[in-house]
Amino acid sequence: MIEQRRASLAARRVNDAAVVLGCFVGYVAVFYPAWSLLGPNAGTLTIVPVMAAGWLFGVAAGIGATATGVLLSYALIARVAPDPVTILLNNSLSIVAGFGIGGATGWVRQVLARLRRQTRRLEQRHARALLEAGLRKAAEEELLRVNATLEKACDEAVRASNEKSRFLARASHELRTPLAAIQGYAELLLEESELRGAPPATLARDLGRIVEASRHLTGLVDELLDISRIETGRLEVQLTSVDLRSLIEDVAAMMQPAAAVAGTRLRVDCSADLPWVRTDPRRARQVLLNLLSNAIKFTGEGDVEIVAGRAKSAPDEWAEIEVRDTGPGMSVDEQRLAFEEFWRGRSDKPGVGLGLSIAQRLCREMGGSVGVSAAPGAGAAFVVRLPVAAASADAQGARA
Amino acid sequence: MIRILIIEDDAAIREMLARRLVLRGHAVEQAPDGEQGLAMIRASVPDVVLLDHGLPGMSGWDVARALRADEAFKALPVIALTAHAGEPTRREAMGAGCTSFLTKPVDLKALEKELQRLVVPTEDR
Repeated sequence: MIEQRRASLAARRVNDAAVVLGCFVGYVAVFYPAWSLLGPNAGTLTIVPVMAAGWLFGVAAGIGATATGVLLSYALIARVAPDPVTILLNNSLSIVAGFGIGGATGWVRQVLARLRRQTRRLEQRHARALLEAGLRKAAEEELLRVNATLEKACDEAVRASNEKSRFLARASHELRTPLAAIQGYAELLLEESELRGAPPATLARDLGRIVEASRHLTGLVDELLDISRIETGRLEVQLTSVDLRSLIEDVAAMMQPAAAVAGTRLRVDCSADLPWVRTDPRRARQVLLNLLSNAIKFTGEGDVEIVAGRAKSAPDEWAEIEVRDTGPGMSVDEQRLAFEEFWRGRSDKPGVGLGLSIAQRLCREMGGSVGVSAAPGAGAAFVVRLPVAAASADAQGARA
Repeated sequence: MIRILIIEDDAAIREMLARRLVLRGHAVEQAPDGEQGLAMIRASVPDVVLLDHGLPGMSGWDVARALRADEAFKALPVIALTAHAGEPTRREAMGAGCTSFLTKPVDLKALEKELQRLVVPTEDR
């Protein structure tokens, strides 16, 4: 009886050892390949196969180990009857262990994978941040460099432009002195010969031409000087209240001889309520002279009319002086280009193409404007707008 | 007749102006620079001075200031002549004490008008 119990105890120990050994071998054999196959780099879904494999092989290993234990205990201690309770217990223990280890492995694996993924994401983000920082820095440096180059180029361009304007100013000043001598001596000779009696007709005419040409040249030099002043911002206007009517009549009277020579009929039409304007009289005169001489130049035998009055849209704010001609007119493109520096259109008339450009800048400088409306073959109309003088009525009253 | 002193370094311009003014019946004296001009004014006061700006040595404005600093010439009309047309130059000229301002090439008609305006007609001396 005692021997029988000893044998039964030994058989149960062998059985237990076999079960533990079987479980261990089973797990190592199954999980190692499964672990490396569905390694930590695999996706989230791999938790399911890993756990399933754990459970499956837990069950298999439990059954296998139990069977081994039963067989071993029979072989070693032949006469001991297998205890069904022990067999069942061992078996279920193995199965529960298999389930537990399989699930735990899958869970650990998933946690590890998630950690890995997070680490990787952080690493990537860090790398990207580093890269972006590097790129941004490089881009900023490049931007600074390009900016510096551009600024340098811009400075150089401005310097060159200023240099050009200074040269223009100097050159036109230097040109004026000999011109003054040429014009002055031609006039002197004319005066002297007139004083001695009637000079020969050819002499008077030739001297007159020298005077005329040098006056023209002086005018061109003055235009260059004006442009250089405008470009260097040194053009100043002196705004005062000006009697527009007398200014227009003066200008028309000045241009009358030239109009007569060209065969142009020049008429002035100032409205009765023509206001005083706030402007620089010398510059306003220059603008009107330019528009008139252009009109006469392009019209030849025809009509040029100066129409002045208050602007219809804002009669209390603006006075408008319109110079209308019956000349060849202008296309839309020509109207657009007319105020460009050095633009001369298809003109074969003398000039350097600065007059209108200067007129426009002068008008702007005086707080006014100049515009053109024209059509090919239908003449042109240039309109100058000047602000009405604030004390217009007083000034007129003072004068009256 | 108006007695005029022209202070101008450019001989061609100076002589041309002088001859044309003489043709118009004025008495003209000439000085090529500011120092000589001042000396001539002190020796015999003209009715009006035509003063170039760009003189060697003393500038035209210096001459004008020197005249204004002297009680005897405070009222002497001085017409500035300059090749620089423009407001800044005009202001400089007036600031230095010039009475009037004309640009070169000088328009003799305008000059004559200025002379008549500035010189108070007195009995011929």
